Amino acid sequence: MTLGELIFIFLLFVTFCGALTTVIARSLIYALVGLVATMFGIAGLYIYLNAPFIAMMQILIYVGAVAILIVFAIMLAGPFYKKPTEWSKVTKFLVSLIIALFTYLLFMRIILHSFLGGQDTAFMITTKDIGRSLFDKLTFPFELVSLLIVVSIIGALMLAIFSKDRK
Amino acid sequence: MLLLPELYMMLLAIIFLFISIGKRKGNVVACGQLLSILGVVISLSSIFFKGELFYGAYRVDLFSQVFKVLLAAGYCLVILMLGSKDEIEHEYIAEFYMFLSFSTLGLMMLVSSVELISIVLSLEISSYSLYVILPLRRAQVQVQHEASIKYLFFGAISSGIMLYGMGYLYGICHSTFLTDIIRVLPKFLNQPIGILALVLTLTGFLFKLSLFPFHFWSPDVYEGASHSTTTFIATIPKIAAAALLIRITSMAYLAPPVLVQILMVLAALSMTFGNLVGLVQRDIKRLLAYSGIAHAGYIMMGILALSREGNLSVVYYITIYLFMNLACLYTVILLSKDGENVTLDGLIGLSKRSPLLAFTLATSAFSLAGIPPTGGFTGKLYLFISAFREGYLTIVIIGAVNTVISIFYYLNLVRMSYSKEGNSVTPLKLSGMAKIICLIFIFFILAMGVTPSSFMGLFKHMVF
Repeated sequence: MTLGELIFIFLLFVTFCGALTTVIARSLIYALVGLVATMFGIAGLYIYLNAPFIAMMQILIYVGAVAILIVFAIMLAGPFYKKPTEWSKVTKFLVSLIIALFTYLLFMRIILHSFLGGQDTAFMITTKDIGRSLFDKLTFPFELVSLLIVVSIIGALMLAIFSKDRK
Repeated sequence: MLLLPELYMMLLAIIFLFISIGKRKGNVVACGQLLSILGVVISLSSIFFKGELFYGAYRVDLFSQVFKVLLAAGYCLVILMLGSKDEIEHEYIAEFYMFLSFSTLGLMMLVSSVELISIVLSLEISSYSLYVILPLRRAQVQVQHEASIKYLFFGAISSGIMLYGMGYLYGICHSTFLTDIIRVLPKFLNQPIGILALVLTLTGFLFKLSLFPFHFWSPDVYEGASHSTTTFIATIPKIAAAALLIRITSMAYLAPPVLVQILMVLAALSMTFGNLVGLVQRDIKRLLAYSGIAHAGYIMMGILALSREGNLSVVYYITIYLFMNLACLYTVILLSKDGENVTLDGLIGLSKRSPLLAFTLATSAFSLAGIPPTGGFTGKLYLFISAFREGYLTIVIIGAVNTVISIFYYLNLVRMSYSKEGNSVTPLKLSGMAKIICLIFIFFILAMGVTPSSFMGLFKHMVF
């Protein structure tokens, strides 16, 4: 086993354990730490998929911004140390297990029965390509993002003022 | 000036933004009514524009322009209908208009976008605006918050599923442009991955159309949102969703029968579920929500035909659906005194209180049920014929049976307003504007039923 494979398995392990912690942890903070671990693991997997740009974005956006936002939300709302009730019943656990397995098998079937592409070289997009296409082929979506941000900022401001008025 | 309707809609949004941050509010309602009527005129004037912009990511053709006219007309009617009653928080009326304009702008861009990322972003612009205006309902305590949270969560989940499907589309086609995808996709359509990608991509639009497994938001949102917001959500996003369903399924004309089977099951479940649950509803807005679920099933009959006739019938049906649904909801808006929901009992004695309104409701109910000579009958006929031509007899039979079931609760609306005598007969005064809007609805519903060829003549050139 080469070093690369070892790191890959380690990343898989981190992602899986993080996801499991997120779902079954008793405290929200532990769940958050699990989530961060998952995000790091997925970022590592992106590097294995020849997508370093997306890996960086994953860390910047999810670990850097989203996790911090969740921390703030937990901080403002107060920590909750409650055992999640969803897992306490055996039937619910069994049902969720069956659904998870079914989905997994379905996707495995779909992927195994599909003949993807057939080209020899890997489909790879570099950061340079992304930067270029944002300013030539994908100008329109690039501009649309600004409109989307305007709408969401105005909306968030209005809702904040609105809920203050109500109190 | 290919982008004239969109630019005008953006201008409207900016005007309302400045009104909302200014000190003097002025008469926002009258201003909005005038500007929105002008919007319809502008969209009509740009109906024959043609061209491509932004490296082929944005296509202006008859298909998109006709849909833009429909969207502008729907937007205009919603704003005119709102003018007569104010059940939105007063201080936020300018913001409400602004977000309606933003939402319509997003939908207008949606029908013209032929590139996956633009499609997602335009859809999100329109949805974000709607998430924000849902809580702005006056004189209610809790329902509107529940509605807005539900709409937000279901919307986010369906967008996520749609993006997942688009990821597969991009992965197998290596391009986000529909013109490239349409070349590569047929090779993958006989594999599970191609079907999976297509169906998941359709999810985002099926959510907007409130088809069966994605319908959970619709009854609560219809019930909880203010009447004018409901009117908007119930009609205008559905027009754009139908347009996008046509655009995306037209890439899959050569699809194997399994795609049609998936869509057929969804359509059948949606019709049956919507109509059966609709039978027991008392709240008219909730009833219309379930009727909307059933109608999504009817519309899918045209989509799953995967043919030019099918798409043509979908365009026709969504047009008549706009008018008949708006007419039915207009009755609710006019009947509710302080913005509360209207139940079936609230209709009692309507024919004595206001004959014109009762007649509008009767016309729209007949049309929703699909009884000649209204447009709903003609539209359904086209849908059934297009599915029948492709040999899908099962779904046609299910559709016909469902039409019969639905007649009960639609005609119940008419029975309540005409044959039941109420205790108090306080006449309902309609303003001149309200009368004109009622007459517009009656005219369009009857005209589309009696002379379908005049509308079909235009639509025939737009579909592919």
